[in-house]
Amino acid sequence: MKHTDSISSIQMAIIIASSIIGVSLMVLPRFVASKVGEAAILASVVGLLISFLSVLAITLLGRKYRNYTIIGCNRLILGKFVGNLMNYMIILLTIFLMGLEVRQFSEVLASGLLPNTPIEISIALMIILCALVGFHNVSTFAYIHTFYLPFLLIPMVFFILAFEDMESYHLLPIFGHDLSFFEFISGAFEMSSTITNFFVISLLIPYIKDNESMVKNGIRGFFLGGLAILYTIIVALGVFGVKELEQIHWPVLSLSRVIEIPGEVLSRVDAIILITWIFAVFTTLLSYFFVIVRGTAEIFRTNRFAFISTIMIPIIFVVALIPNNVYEIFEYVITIAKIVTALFILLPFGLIVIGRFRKKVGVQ
Amino acid sequence: MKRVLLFMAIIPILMLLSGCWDRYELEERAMILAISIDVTDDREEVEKYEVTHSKGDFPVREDQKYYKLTAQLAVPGKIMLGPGGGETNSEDTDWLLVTYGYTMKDALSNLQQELAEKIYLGHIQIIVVSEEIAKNGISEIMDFLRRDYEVRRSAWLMITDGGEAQDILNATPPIQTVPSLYLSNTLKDAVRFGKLPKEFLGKIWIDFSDIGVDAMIPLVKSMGDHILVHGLAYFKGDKMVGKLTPTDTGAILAIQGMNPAGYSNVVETEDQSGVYLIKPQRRKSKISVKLVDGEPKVTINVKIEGFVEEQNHVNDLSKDRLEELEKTLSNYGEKALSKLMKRLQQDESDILGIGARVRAKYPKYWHEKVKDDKGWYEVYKDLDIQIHLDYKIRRVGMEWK
Amino acid sequence: MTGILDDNVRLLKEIFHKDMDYSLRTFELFQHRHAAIVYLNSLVDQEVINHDVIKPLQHYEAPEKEPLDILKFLIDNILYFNDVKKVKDFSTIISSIVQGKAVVFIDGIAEALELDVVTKEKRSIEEPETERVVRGARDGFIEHLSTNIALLRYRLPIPEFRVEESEVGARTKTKVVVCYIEDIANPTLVEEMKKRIDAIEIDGVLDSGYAEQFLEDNPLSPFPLLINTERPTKVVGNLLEGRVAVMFEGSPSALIAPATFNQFYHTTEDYNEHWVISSFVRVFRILALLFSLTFSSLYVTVISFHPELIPAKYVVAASSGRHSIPFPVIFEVLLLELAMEVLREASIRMPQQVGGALSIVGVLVVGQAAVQAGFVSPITVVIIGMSTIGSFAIPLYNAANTFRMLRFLLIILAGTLGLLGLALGLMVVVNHMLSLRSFGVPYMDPYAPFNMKAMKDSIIRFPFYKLKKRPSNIHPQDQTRLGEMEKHYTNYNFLDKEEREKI
Repeated sequence: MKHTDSISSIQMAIIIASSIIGVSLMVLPRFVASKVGEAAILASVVGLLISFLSVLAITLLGRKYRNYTIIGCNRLILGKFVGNLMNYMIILLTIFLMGLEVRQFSEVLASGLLPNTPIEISIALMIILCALVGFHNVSTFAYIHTFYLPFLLIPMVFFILAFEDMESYHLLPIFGHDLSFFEFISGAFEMSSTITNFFVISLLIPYIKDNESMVKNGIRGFFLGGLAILYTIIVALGVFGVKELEQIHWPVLSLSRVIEIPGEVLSRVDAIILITWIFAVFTTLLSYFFVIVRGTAEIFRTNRFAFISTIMIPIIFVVALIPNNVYEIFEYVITIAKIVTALFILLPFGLIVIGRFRKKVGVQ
Repeated sequence: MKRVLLFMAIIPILMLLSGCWDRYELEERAMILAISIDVTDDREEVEKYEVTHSKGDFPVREDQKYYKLTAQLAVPGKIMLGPGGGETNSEDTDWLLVTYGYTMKDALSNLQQELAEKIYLGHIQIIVVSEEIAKNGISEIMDFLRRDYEVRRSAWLMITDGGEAQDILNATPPIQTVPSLYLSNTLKDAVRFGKLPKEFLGKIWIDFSDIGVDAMIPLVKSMGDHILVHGLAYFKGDKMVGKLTPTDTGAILAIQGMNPAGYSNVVETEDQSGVYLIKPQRRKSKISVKLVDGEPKVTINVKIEGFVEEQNHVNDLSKDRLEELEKTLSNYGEKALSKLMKRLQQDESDILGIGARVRAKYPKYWHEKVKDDKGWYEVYKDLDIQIHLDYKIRRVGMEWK
Repeated sequence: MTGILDDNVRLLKEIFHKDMDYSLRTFELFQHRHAAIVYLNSLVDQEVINHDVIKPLQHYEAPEKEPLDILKFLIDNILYFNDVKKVKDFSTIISSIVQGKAVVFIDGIAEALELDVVTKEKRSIEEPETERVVRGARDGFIEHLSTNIALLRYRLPIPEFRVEESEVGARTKTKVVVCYIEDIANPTLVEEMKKRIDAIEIDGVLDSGYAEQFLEDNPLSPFPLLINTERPTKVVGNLLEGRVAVMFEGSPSALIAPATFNQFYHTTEDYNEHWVISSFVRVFRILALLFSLTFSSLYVTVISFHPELIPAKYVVAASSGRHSIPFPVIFEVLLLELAMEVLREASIRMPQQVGGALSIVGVLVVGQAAVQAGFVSPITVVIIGMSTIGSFAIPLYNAANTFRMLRFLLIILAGTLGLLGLALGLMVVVNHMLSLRSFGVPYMDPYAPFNMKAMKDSIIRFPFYKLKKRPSNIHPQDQTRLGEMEKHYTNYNFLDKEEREKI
């Protein structure tokens, strides 16, 4: 490894926050509102809590086995065969997730920004951009997230300009209309599955210098990202209302078109928000790619990150082109994301429990 | 490193080989600044185009409408930057084109056939719809506008008060700018002065989608070379059911508590000696909905602060006089507002969004008794709405008496 | 080397007989011994040789008994020349001669005396052209290493200031000097610097820039990873923060390591002026930097791909402005950028007399005439002009160059892919910068590893009493630079009679 290859737990927090704010932010309001109506806000809060369990699980696991990534933990605690099986599954799921999210990204571009550019190009370029970031250095990965995070939070400031367009009757009643408990929970769960990207930290555990504050900072980072997302949902819901949200394909994009800067300096704010969103997409996809490359490298106990990155590019590219239309993308993403979310709640907790059973002590 | 270099070699090759797909130079775009939509009986005009379909092959419905679309294009080359462009008349700066079609997109495709440049809708300032279309339902036109990514939500939708929508686009004020810019500025500044609510296109869409709210769309009338902002048209669902005069608009805005206020109010003293024009300056309103005996009851409290703009026939302002005026105004205002609300209730148009508020505050009631828009109109018709107006006159201008 | 004078002289003559500046002066020492002094007259100070070497040697009366160690006797009692050494090895003698030293041979003694009488032509100390300030010292380094060291020494009259010598360049044998303050700079940093310098194996180092490319962590990166400067104040300032400086004989620019991105918009003047002004100016510099990088590509993006970003009032006028231009925007922009670059290069090489005229002609040709011919649109000229001027506002020349280059990349990307291209280009640049290390220190410090304390002196410069610590990213040994002081003296009341009568 080159250079100092450790990151602080605050950087881990930042990685969590910027990974969460990603592709799905564009669709999230519609997605949640169509499921649960006005209860979107509460459902989002519950969704955040569900994801929070996952963050907790991973950080607690990390605190116990501080020199192992989740790949290593799987192998250590579940034994070589089952452990590797889990690892393969994680990598495979991440590959799918990343491919589908790149596709989502290209679709937004194709519908809202560059209609004639073939999506293969934007998909390929985004994947290549992720691959160009060499993965030798964990600290560079952390710096990238640290640097981009302020830019991701800028649109949140712009949304303040939309406050005057919010109507209170869009936001009430907070429990929605005629919502069964099951629908509520499934809506919350779907919401939490869109922000599942933070599981990248499970591969960063050995590099975190100050392991003791890991849990604390992980929580902080998560809430920062979660708050940003919640805020976006509230604004989108307040401005549009449930019925309109169900109609609009990408509510956050339309939201940025509603905002007017006083003085008409910029005719449309949506360009700025689009650029920052492209940054957000990049950081999220980078986290996925990090998991893929480093995870694969660790499974096969090799250091040849460049080689693995290069192989992964065409694989992810192919995956990205699988769905046929926007509705299919959506279905696939939801299904896989749900699996991953559930996995990353049950797996770490399971590992902690089983580890205690088998009395496998992590290297202290 | 070699890998990086390889990528860096591939990417420029990719780009150069493939070309820039979305690059349309500014002058290669036909910028449509305004469109107007009318209904027409001229079926032949519509049927002669065979752009999206072969002749006679369009799936025609029973009540199929035939649209006449007029587009106002900006003529590049006429408006110069800087001091060079002194002598252009706004007549020369735009180009009106008329097409026909079965639907919006159909008409636009027909239009594209006639133009060299690619149609660009990103700078549409105003969309004018004829009264006829509004009365029969406006949602058909909306779908295309919503789906297209170029159309901006901050454009203005307008309805003509009688006459053809095309006449509005014919207005060419002697001010040196593209007419549609002038028109959209008229509306935008009207909002700024408090003469119209902030109902740009995006808001209208939201109101159409919302349950329990109805939209109000600005009404305009052609005056030859400029337009008159003639109040609002109010809707029930997606059909226009009535018009509001500018004074009524002011009243509605008062109920909504919008600032600044655009319209002055006339009041006569009790003893009919003086006629005063009072301009409201700050308004606050609160619409509260309560459920009483299972029925919703609405109370609207409006507080207005104003100042005296004009005094006619007498010259004796004083504290007592002000109090007298305030009382008269409050009473008169309450009556006028109530009358307005009754009218709206009769026409079953809920532009204040009372339905939405009931639905938000009392979801259970909504689900049991009302259930949807239709049910709400039934309730709305007989809704008990109490209006209290408290008018305070603070200042009297530069004259003491 | 033998004790026989004639043999030695003959050997030397074989090597140097073709050279015009080879001088041999024979004389008699102690009135009976033959001796000769050999030197290259182009390099030596002939006055010194005449007065301080030959004269005393010839003049001295032979002592009664000849001393056993004649050379030692000469050094201790006769030669009042200060830099004398005994040499035995013939190859050392030859290299000394070519370095400008004079060698004295005495018949019968198998050792020679080497005297450093070298003198070099040097120019006077002037203000560096490329690093101007409004307020501040105006001396700059020259090519003569000793003078440069002097300029540093008198600013740091402490025993901890080290000036370690080394040599690079197989044929140029350039003297290199590593400067640091012993109790501030981190010793590993110094060691690393010395190691890298010793590792350079090249035939000639003609200027500090040659060596810079060998000392960088990542020579493939277009970003400068070492600071170079011609101002002693800047070097001393950096040394006081804990950095290491390297200077080369024959080069007026010193190199300073480690470098971070912050250095590229900081100047020494920032610390000389009021902190509010400095902060403002730094913000403007960053804006200028961003401008020079993105302005042209933003323009291309907006006009070609996303005209909805142009305010409505303007878009019609803009499109009419473009109507007569034959090229698409991207070609126009690239054309003008190329023209600007050519102009810039031309104006650097241009002799003084023609230079002034050319710039006016350049502006006229590119700007006015082209616009009127309908070749380019006036807006483009404005945009290009602004981005070029923006690049001049960056204090460090090589950083400005980097952004100039990257600008082209962004323009091309923006021209093919619009906003996406611009975003991708920016991300590539930023990611690259974030992965750079200069001697192990992260390049984007303090933005990347977010260091709140170090932010006090990055974009905004806090007043001095707040800048108590040295920058922690270079891990200096002594962290504090300020002592305890009064923050301000606003309570001092001179007008009060009592106050004055205290004394």
